[in-house]
Amino acid sequence: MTQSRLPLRDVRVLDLSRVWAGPFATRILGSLGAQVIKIESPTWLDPLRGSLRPKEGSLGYPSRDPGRHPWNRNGYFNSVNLWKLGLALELSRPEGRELFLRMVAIGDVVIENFKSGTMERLGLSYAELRKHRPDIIYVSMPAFGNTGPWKQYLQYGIGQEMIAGISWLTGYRGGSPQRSGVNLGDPWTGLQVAAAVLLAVRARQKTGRGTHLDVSQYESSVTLLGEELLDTQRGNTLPDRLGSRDRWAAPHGMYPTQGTDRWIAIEVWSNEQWLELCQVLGRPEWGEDSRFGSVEQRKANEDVLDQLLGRETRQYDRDQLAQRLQGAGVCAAPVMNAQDIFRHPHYKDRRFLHRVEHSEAGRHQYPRHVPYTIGRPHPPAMPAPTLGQHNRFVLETILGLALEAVEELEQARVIADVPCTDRQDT
Amino acid sequence: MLALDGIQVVELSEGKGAAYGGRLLASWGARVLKVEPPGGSPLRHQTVEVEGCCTSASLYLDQGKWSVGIDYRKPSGRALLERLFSQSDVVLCDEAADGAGIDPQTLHASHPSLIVAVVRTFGLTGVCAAWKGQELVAQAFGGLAHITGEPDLEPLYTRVPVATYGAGVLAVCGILAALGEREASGEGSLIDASAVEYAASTLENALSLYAYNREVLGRTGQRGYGRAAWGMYPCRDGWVGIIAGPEHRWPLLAQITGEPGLDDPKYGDRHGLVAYADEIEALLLPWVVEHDRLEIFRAGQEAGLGFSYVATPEEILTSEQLDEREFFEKLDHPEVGTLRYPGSFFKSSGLGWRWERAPLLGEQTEQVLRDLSLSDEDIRRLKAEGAIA
Repeated sequence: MTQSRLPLRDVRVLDLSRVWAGPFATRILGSLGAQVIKIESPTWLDPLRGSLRPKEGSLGYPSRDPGRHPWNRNGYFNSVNLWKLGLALELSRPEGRELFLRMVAIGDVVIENFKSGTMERLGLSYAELRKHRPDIIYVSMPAFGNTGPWKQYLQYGIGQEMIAGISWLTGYRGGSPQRSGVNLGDPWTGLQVAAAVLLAVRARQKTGRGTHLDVSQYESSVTLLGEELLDTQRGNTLPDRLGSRDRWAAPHGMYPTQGTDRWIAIEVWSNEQWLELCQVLGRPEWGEDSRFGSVEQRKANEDVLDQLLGRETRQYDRDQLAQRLQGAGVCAAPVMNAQDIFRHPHYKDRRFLHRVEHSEAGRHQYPRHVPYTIGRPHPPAMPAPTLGQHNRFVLETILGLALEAVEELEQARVIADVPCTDRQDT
Repeated sequence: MLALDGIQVVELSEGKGAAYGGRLLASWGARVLKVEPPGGSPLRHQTVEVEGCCTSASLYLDQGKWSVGIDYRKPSGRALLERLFSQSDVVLCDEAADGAGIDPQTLHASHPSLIVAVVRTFGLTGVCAAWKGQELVAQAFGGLAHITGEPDLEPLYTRVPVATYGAGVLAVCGILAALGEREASGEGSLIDASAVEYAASTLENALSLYAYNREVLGRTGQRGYGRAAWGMYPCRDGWVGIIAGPEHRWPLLAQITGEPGLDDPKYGDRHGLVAYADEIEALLLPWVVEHDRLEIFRAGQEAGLGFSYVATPEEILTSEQLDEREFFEKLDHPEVGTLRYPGSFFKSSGLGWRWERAPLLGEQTEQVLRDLSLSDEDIRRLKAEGAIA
C-alpha cells in the first residue's frame, strides 16, 4: 500500500510543536498518512536537534561524529520526527507570519506546544487562524492548559511526572519518590493528543466544524492516576512506595538472574501460577509452605518470599527462565535493554524496528509508534527532515509560490536551511 | 451531541488496556457494550482470589459504558454475542477473547466491515504473542524498567499503568482512523496494539543511542540526562523538581537561591550541567533543604523556570489548577457513593465529554437484548438457561 491509501491521506498538519510531546503526536499522525509539515524557527531550532557545536565524539550522532551539520545528525531528533516534511520559517517576521497564514488556509490541523499566550503574541490566535480557515482544528498543548492560575507556568516532561503524582507512587521500598527513566508525560500526552486529533478530524467530517483543543499536559498525566485518585477518596491510600511490588499480587517484582545487571520480571496473580512457579524453579516444597499458601499469606511474608526467590532465580539464564515460566502459564519477562529489543525475535517478527535512510545521518533502525493494521503493511517511513529540507517543496509545490519569491525569502532569511544564530533555547 | 454518537462498540476485555480505550470511546459518545461473563469482568476483582466489588479500576475504566452480562461459554450466550458483533461497528478485545474462544483474525474475516481492535500485552502476532503479563511485564519487556531507578540497584517499576493504558489508546487511534476508512470503502480493519511495544515507544533516546552508537543506556537515577538542576531533590517538606530550563534563564537560579556562585557561565548549558553536576548541587542544595515545596515551585515558575514538586494523590485532588479547569466531576454510584472522577485532558467547545458512572454488572443487559429485538419470552428463557445476567 502506498501512502496515498493511508487513512489520513487528505489531512494536512501544520506542526509548530517542539521537543517530544507534540512531535510524538504528529509522528503518529504522519505515519497514518497525514501530510505533516514541521515548521521550525531557524533561530530557535527544535531543542532535540541538539547543540549547534557539540563536542567531538558526542553520543547520539552517527559514529559519534556530529559532522558539519550536527542539527541534522542527531539520532533523538531523527527518531521523533519521522514522517514529516521540514520548513524552517521565521514566524516572528511579518513575511513569515503571512506565509504561515496562507498555509493555514489550505491546512487542516495546527498544533503547537508553546507557553500559553505565545500564539496570540505572534498574532496567530485561534480567532485569527479561523479567519483564514474557518474549520481549522487548532491544538494548543501548554503544560497546564490555557486557563487557570498556572496557565503561564512552564513544565518539562521530567517535572510533569512529579507534579502529576507519578513520582510519588514510584520508588524503592521505604525510599524517596523516584522519576521514571524517561520523561513519561511526553509520550503519554503525545499519544492521547494523536487520538484527540483523530477524533476532531472525524467530528469535522460529520459537522463541517473545526475546533480548538485546549490540552493540558498536566491533566493528561493525571489521567494515569485515575485508579489511585479514586482509591485515595475511598480511604485506600497507598501506604508507602512499594518498589516493584503490587498490592494485590505476590510475588511481583524484578529478580536477579545469571550475569551482570540481568533481571527477570515475575507477576503471580493466582495460587495456580504460584504452584507452577515453584515447579519450574524445582522447589515444589514452597508450594506446600503455609507461609505462601494464599495471596494474603504471600503478601504477609513477602520479604522472605522475595529473598528465597531471588536466590533461586540467580542460578538461571534470564531468557530461558522467562520462556519456561511463560510455558507454564506464569507471567514473566526478561528485563530488556535497548540491545535486547533490537535483537529479540518477537520485535523482529512484528517489524517493530524498520530501516530508514536519512540523507545526512545514514541508514538506521527506528521504532514504529502506531498499531499494526493486519493485512495492510505499512509503507516505508519518511526520514526526519533536515533543517529546512522541504522549504522549496512546501512553498512552491504546496503553496504555489514562484521560484523568485522563494529566493527572496531565502535572501531575507525568512526561510533558511542552516541555523540563523548560535542562540538556542531548551 | 458527542463526536462518536451512533457508534456501537462491543468490549470483550479482562485487562486495563482495552478498558482504558473503551473509556475514551464511551466518553467521546460511543455506546460501549462491555460484555461480562458470570461474576463480572476480572477488572471488578482485585485478583482472582480476592473478590472485591467495585474496584477503583472498574469504577474508573468502565465509566460511561453499558454492562451486558452474557455467559458466552453457553451456546445460546455465544449466539447472542455473535448477534451483537454483527450489529456493531467495533469489537474491542484483549486476552479475554481467548477465554471466549474467539479468534480475532477469524472474526475479522467473517465480518469484513467490522473493525476489530485487539489490545494485548505482547500483541496478536510474533513469537511471544501467547505470553501473558500485566504492567510490570510490559515495562520489563518494553525496556522502560531497565532504565528506571538507580544505577546500583535493581530496575524499578513505574507505578502507573502507562504501557497498558497506552496500548488501549493506540487501539483507539487505529479505530478512529479505521472508522473513516470504513465509511469510504465499506471495509473494516484488524488492529493489533501491544503494551510492550507502546512501552518501547516511550524510551526517549535509548533506542536511537543504540541504533546510532551501539550504546546501551542504563539507569540514570534522579538526574535527568545526568544533569544537575534537572531532577528531583529533597527539600524541607518533601521533594521538588529543580529544572533549570530554559537554558538562557540559567542566571536566574543564582538570584532565586541567593547563591551567587551558581551564576557561572560554565554551568549554564547542557554540558556544564553534566560536567559540574556535583559542584552545582553543592551550591544549590543548602537553599533547597531550607525551603518548602510550594515556595520553591512558585519561586522558579515566577522567574520563568520549569520547576516542579512531587505531589501526593491528595494534593492532586485539591489542586487549584485542576479545580479551576473543572477537571474533576462528582459522580454518584449506588454502591460506593459520590466520588470525584478525573475527566478529559482537553477542553473543546466542539467536542464534548460524557460524564457517566461505571455500570453495575449486567445493568443494561435487558435493554441491549430488547434493542436486538428479543421478546420478553426470549429474555426469560435465556435467563432461565443462565445465558444472561
